[in-house]
Amino acid sequence: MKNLYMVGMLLIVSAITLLLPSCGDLIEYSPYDADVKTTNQNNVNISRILNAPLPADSLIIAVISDTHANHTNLNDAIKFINRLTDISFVVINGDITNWGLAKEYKDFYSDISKLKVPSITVIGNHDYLSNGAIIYNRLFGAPNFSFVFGNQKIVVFDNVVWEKGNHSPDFDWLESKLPHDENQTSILFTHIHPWDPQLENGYAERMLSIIEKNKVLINVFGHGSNPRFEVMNKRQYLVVPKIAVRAMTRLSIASDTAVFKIIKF
Amino acid sequence: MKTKRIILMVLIFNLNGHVFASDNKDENLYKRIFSPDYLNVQYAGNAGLGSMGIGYISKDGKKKFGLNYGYLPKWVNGVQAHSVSAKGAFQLTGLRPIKSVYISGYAGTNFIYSMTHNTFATLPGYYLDNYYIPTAFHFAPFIGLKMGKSLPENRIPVRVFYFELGTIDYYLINSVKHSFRHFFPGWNLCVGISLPL
Repeated sequence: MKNLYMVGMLLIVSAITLLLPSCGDLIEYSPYDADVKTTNQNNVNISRILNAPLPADSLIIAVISDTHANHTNLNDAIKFINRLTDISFVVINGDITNWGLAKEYKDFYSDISKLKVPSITVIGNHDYLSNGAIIYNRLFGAPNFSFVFGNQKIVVFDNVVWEKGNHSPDFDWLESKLPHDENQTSILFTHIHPWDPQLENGYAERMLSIIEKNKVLINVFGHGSNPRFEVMNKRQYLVVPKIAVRAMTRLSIASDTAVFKIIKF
Repeated sequence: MKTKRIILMVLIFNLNGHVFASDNKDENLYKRIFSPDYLNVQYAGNAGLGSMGIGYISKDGKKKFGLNYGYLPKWVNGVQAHSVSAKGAFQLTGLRPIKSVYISGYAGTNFIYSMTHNTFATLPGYYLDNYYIPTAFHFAPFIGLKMGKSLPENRIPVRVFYFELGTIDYYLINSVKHSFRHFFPGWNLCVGISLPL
């Protein structure tokens, strides 16, 4: 009788153990796991952007930043952006998570999938925590990327330092991707702004010198407590508001001008 | 760094033994510390693909405390994680639906220290002070259901299999902050077996 009971118990446990993985989200081995199934979403969205017709007038980009798993404000921002009819695409300028956890990434992706227009996601310093870099690479692709839309080159540059083990950003990549051609201008999206302590040790100076050598219409950063705009050596530097203050930025890009407006939602 | 962590883990596991070993007057307590009541093996549940550990049960059988080691191997999803955890639980209810089966509901929490890439107990020196709170520790509350064979004299069985529905502190806090928008996916299920020692 005792043996029969033990065999029965083992069979039940074995069956449940075999069935559990099919329960999907109900199984989590560790919060630090990297179990994301969706892949390469930045490239998927870049294809959507490039397949859309070029805007007749200015290129309009919506920028939100530092969403930090703030689902309430992120969803409100998405609803707000979905009501705007002139947006070509949305840039989420880094720090989409607090701890770089797979669940944060998946929840973020679930939220931004509700956007009617394509979006591209920049990596931020928080997104590197834990196994966040691996998850970002799977879900969105490489953190440095660029594409040409009309006569604008959109460049996304990962300039995180501390969370990458205090290593230098890949400035050679940035230098090679910013257009040297006078007929082409670019817009640079980067998470860490040049006034942040992460970019001490000469990193900020290196970044600014590369930007100044090239025709970058506007440099858009996240990571700021407050929005900030400065013009230095004929280059525009904008730190966009974090989503906690319930604001987004509307960038309007014409052939060689970039104008921004911070809009509360 | 990794070696330091392993040494720290070994020290933590041995600390209790050395403290009590130095106290000859409390031989019973010494024996109790080194005679855990059960061994458990678990699948999933915030501590790794699998975890195992030992634990102690209170005299009335309604409270338990355990120490576990869990491991998430790289072949599962490309990342590796080790964890050590302390687990406390208390019984909420117990019933015998049929004569030979005992079922009880319980609740408790794990306190998990995980070691994986880019998590830390103390910040590396190049960060500003207090830039992040430690990312390697989590409370992982759970509710559970265990089932075993009924024992005479209403004793609570130790040989049981169990399910636990758990989450971690951060998921729970963030879900509450954001009106439970992502509350339910934060819960996850584990299954395990507990055997008397």
